[in-house]
This record gives sequence, structure tokens and C-alpha cells, in this order.
Amino acid sequence: MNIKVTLNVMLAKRNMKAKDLAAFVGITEQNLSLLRTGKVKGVRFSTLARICEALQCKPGDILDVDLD
Amino acid sequence: MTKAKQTNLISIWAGYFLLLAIGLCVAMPVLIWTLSTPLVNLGNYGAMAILGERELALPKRLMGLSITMLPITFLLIALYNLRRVFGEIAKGQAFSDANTRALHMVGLAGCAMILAQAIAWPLMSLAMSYDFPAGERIFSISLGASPGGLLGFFAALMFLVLAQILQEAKRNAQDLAMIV
Repeated sequence: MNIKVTLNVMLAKRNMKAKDLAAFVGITEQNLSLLRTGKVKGVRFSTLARICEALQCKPGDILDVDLD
Repeated sequence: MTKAKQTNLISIWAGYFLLLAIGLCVAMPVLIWTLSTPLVNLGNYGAMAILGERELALPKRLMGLSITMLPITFLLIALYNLRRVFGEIAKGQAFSDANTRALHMVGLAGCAMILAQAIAWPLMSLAMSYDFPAGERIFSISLGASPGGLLGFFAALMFLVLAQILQEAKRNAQDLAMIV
């Protein structure tokens, strides 16, 4: 069971650029790119809260579970 | 001055002092063993006491120098690696692989130096008395624990432990870097 990051979907829905999101959250574009591609080991609650604030969504909207 | 700059400055100066120590470690034994009358009890592992009034010939001087240099070689390895540690810290890379390896080497070389010091005593007695008449040759084994030796041994062990801690810290730093 893996956690999937569906941030790209939410970004597209909100029509928001990754660059703008990174600036709002206060992380580098490189780190956001790693997060979008699921190459990170974890996300801080504070980062998650800022992303949700920027995208007006809940954590469940940007995280999914891969049951395979 | 910021804390990072202070650390850098201390590391740079520590590096210079270590260079000086390395130079002295090599120069002092050479000086002692090439003097016409070697200085007594200065890293000669009891050589003067064994020789007494006898003449110190060139082969014995070379053997004495080699035996004196045996623990010093490990000390030099330890100092060189310690200098590398300070160099890495000065570059701001406290958690680098090179730093961990260098700290580990300091510990290993320190332990080897203590062992070499223990071996140097019997070796020196053999080297200084091998050409004495039968019955006067000496093979001296010394068992003991000087405060300095014990301190050096435990300091070496501490460096090995520090290397392990640094390895763990490096792993944690890498994990932390993967958390956004």
C-alpha cells in the first residue's frame, strides 16, 4: 500500500501554477516538484496546511492510497 | 561574528596547529636519534637505560628511530585525518561521508597507536641489546597503564563512537532533506 500524491490534479483543477504554489507555501520549486512526483519521504503538517490553504482543499484531495 | 564563521575560523586554525603537530611529530624523533647523545626519556622507550654507558652506533640509532616512529606513524595518520575532519567542518560539511570516514580513521589509528606503544617497549629492548654479550641481552615486557595512555585509548574509542553517531546523524539529515 503506497501513498500517492495527486497534487497535479488539484493544481490543474484550480488552474494554479506550481511556481505560485511553491511561493505561497514557502518551499522551493525543486521541493514542490519532488512532492508532485512522489519522491519525498514525508510532508510536514505545516506544508500540507499551506498547500490546502492555497488550493482551498482538504489533505484527502491531494493524497490518495494506492492499494496495489 | 556568526556561529558558523566562528566554527570555520576555529577549524582553519585547528588545521594549522595540526600541521605544526605533524611536523613536530616527525622532526622531534629524528632530532633525538641523530643527536650525538640522544635525550633521555624522550620517546625512546627506555633505550638509554638499556644502553647505559655503551656507545650508540648508527644501526642502533636507525633501529631506535624506526621503533620510535612506529607509534608516531599511527599518530600521524590520526592527526592527518583529524585535519581532514576540521577541513570538512570548515567547508560546512559536518555530515559528509568523508567526515565520517576520517573520524573513524582517527579512532582506529588512535587505538593502533596505543598498541604500537605497547609493542615498542619490548622491540626497543631487543634492538638496543641484540649485540650485547650473552647474558646481558635484554627483552623487556612492560605491563601498565599510564594516565596519558589510558586517556589516549579512551579518546580513540570516543572517536570511533563519534564516527558511529555521525553516521546516524548523516542518515537522519538525509531523511530530513526528503521531507518537505
